[in-house]
Amino acid sequence: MIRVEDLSVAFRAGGRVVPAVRGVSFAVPKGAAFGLVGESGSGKTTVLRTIAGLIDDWDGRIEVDGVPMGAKRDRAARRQLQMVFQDPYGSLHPRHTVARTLAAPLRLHGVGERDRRIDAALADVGLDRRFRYRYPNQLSGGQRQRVAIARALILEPAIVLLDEPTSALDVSVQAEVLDLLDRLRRERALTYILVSHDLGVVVRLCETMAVMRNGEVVETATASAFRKGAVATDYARGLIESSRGYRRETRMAEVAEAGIRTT
Amino acid sequence: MTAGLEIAGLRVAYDSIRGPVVAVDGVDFTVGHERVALVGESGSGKSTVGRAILRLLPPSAHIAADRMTFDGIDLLGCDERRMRRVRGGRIGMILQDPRHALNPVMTVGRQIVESYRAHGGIGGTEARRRALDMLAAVHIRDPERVFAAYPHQLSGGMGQRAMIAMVLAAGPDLLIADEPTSALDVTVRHSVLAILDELVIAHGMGLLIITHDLNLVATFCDRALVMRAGRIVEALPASGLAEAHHPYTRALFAAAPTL
Repeated sequence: MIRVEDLSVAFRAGGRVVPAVRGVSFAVPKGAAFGLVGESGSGKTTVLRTIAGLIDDWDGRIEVDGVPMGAKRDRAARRQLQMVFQDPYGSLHPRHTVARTLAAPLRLHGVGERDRRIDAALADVGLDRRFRYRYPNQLSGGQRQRVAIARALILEPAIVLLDEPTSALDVSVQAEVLDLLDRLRRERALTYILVSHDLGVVVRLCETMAVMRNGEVVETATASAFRKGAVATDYARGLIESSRGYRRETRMAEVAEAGIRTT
Repeated sequence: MTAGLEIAGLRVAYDSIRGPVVAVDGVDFTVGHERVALVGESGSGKSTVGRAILRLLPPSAHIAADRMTFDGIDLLGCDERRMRRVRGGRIGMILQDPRHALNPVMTVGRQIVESYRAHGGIGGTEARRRALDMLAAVHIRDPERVFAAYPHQLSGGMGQRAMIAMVLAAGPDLLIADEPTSALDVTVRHSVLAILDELVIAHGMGLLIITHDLNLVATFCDRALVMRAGRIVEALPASGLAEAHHPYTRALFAAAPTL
C-alpha cells in the first residue's frame, strides 16, 4: 500500500518560487496499478520523482506500507521502489554492456548470485542470454526498454514507478511492452504508478487514475469510468474527447466563431 | 493534366559502408487539394519520402523516380535555383520539433517577416502587419508578444504554431507536415490541426501528413497510404482504416491502445 498525502513541491527558478505540485493526495493498494495523466507541465512526473526519492525538497507525507518515506532513505527503502524512465536511449549507459548495467543495482545492494539473477531478469523480459554482451547501440528501442524494465525488477521491488515507459516506442513495440508490464504485475503482485500523457496507455494498464493540471489533481476515477466517458470535470471530458480523435464539425465551428482569416 | 503532386516509382537509397541501403523502394501516389496521410512505423521510409520531394536529403542519399512533379514542375530534374523557389514558396514543410526549425537567435517576428519578404515580394511595414495577422490566424492570443519573442521563450505548442505561421506566410500550395502534432499536448494538437484543416477547406491547399498516429489519420485525413519497409502496402480512404484488408494495416490499427 502506498499513500501520498498533501504532497507539495516547489522549484526555485531565478529567485522566484514556482509551485510544481500543490497538495496532491492518493492511495494505491498493494498489487494495484494507478495512473497519473496530464499534459506537459501538469506536475505528474514531479509527483513520481518525489515518490522515487529523486527530489529532496518537498512537503506532505509519503507512506509505503505505513512507513513514512523521508527525504533521506536507507537502502531497504530504496530497494522496494524502482523506476523505469521515459527515454530508453538516455537511461542506459552507452559504454556498459547489458550485463554490467544489470549487475550495478545488485552490486550496490550487496546481492549475491549475480549471474543467475541477470539471466533470470533477462528471461523475465523476453530476452535470451546472448543479450548479456550487447551494448545499448546494438539494441532496438523496444529491447532497450526491456533492459530498463529488467534493471528495475532485478532487485525484486514491491513498487515500480513508470514514467512514460512506452512513449518513445512505435505502436507495435509499445503494445508488446504494455503486455509485458501487465504480465509481470500479475505474476509478481507488483504495485505500479504509471505516468503518461496518453489516456489509452493508462486505461490499458491501470484500474484507477488521477488527472492532473497545474500541479493539482483535478479528478480521480476508475479506468472504466474513463472508457465510458463518465467523468465529473470538464477538463477530464476534454481530454477524453481529444484522445478520441479530431472532430471536424466542432473545430470548424470554433474557427468560424473566432472570425480569424488565414491569408 | 491534374494539378498537385504526382509521384511514380520513387526510390531512395543511402550509401553505407556495406553498400547501398534502400529506404524507399518504388512508391507511387498523388496529392491534390486534399489531406493525405503517409503512415508507418520508424524506419518505414515515410519521412524519407517527405524530404525526397523537396530534395532535402543528405548527399549520401540517391533519389530516382519515373516521375516526380508538382503542378508540372519536374522536382527531380529542375536546377537548384528553381528548386529554391519551390521550397518554401510552392511547397512548405513543417517538422515535428519547432525548436530545431526556428532560428534560435532571431525573434519569431523577424523570421515570419523574412518569409513574407522572400516569397511575397512585399515591403517591411506590410510584411510586419501580415506577420502579426498570421500569428493571430494560428490562434496565438498575444501576437505582439510572440512577435518580439525568441523561440526559447515559447512553449512547445506556441513554438509549433509560430513555425506554422512562418511556413504559411509563404502561401504554399502544398504543405508537407512531418509529425506536426506529436510533440504537442492533445488539447493544443487539435487547434493546430484545425488551422491546417481550414487551409485545405477554404484555400484549396494540398496537405501531406507524415505520421504514426492512426487515430489522427482516421479522424482527420481523406486518404491514407500505409508504408512498410520502403513500400506502400495499402492505400485506402482514411475513414476505412478500421476495416483495412492488409494484415499489416490491421495489426497496426489493433496495436494502438484506445479509450
